[in-house]
Amino acid sequence: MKNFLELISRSRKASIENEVHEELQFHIDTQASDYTSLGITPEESRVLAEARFGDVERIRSECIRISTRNTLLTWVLTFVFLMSLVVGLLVRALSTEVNVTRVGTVMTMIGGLGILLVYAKRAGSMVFTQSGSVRLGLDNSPVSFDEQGRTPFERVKSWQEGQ
Amino acid sequence: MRANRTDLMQGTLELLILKTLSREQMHGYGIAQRIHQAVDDLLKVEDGSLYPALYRMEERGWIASEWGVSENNRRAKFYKLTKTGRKQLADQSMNWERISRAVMRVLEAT
Repeated sequence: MKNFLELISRSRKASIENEVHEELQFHIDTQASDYTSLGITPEESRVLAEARFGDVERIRSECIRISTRNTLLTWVLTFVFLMSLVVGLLVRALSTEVNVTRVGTVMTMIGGLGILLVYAKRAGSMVFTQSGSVRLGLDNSPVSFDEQGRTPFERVKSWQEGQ
Repeated sequence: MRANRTDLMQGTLELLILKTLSREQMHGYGIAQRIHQAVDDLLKVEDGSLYPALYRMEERGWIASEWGVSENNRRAKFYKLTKTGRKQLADQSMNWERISRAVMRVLEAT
């Protein structure tokens, strides 16, 4: 059982690491691509994007630590509730004593409700509507620089100062 | 302008993220761009610092995430405000207004 849980935990951690890596890489790649579209060379774009992002390794480790912590708690809770459910059902099936059967019923209810709650919490955080802005829209487009390298805000400011 | 930029106060980044996501779901890069545009370079927000904040907020149930496809046809993780997150945004906004009013009063009085 211990080895089985360890295997699941390791596999889950690898999956989290991959997801974090993919998410951060998407950010840096998209930023670099936006810099390239402004006329900066791909090499410089990559350097600028990474500099703007900050310490990638530290951020990656922190994200993995937070995600793993969350997942571990879910696993532990699920395991405890599942055990309660199984033991409760066994007690109910095997016992002939009314009082012991009642204990089994309570354990079954706690286990079942607990699993439902854990599932509902996970499902609640996963529920999503795919409407609207799943794609990068104009609102999400990067700041466009003019030929003098000014952002729209800087252009508006200099225009206002000129008034 | 850049020399006068101010580092974000603790907790402020979360409020900015909540507000940004209150309009629509977005991926991390979109959130970063939106915040940069909104703060107009007055605040220093390092792009990478968004992610631990996003993960913590998801852990607390303020936001939820799902993988989708971005405009450049790549897999990206999209974040959306939950009901708890909306309540948190309202609470934090009120708290922020109260603090800034109090600080302004002190600054104006002295």
